Amino acid sequence: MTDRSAPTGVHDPLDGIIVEYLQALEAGRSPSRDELLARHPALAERLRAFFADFDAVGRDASKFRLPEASVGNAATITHGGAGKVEIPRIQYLGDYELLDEIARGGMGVVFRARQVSLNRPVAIKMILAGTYATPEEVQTVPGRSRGGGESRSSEHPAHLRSR
Amino acid sequence: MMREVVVLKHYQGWTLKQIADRLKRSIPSIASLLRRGLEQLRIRLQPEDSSHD
Repeated sequence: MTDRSAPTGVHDPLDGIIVEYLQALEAGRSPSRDELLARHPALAERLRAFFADFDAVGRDASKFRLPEASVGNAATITHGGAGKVEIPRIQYLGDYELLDEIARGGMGVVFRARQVSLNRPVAIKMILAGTYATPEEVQTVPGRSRGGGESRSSEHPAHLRSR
Repeated sequence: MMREVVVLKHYQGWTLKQIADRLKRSIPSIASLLRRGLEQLRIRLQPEDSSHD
């Protein structure tokens, strides 16, 4: 594990407990919150606050969906009998976080997105297929060269800088 | 970064280890980002008239 300079400053003992709890959940166990709280009385109050926030987000994920206004006219556009199309929730495509839909044509759709690793805005064009196309389908965009990437300044043929 | 962690954990169902590998951070620092991210989310989602700023 690479140890990057900690963005969080000094390691908080609370986070070790949270790791223990979450990894138990991930392993399919049912860790006892009461037991953790009892074992760490000094941190109990903050741990309770974490549990409350954790539950609130898990329980009410619909609150955090993208507002309809941010997906352009997608809700009113139909194509191929597929009915209205909207981004159901925050979605990642590899390193890209899809933010909203910019434009849509007969074959493709363009999303405003953010490249997470470089934290920069990008536009992603995808071929329509069902709700959205997969990255594999992006590779098949007709007329795009994919063999000789050296002719392009951008890193990916279907990837444009948005500014 | 907090946002990525919350999304990956809560909405994409990634494990802490997967997120740590992806973001090249330690597992405890991912837990910290998640904890603070959820906290920020709660604060920001409070109705304006009940905020305690």
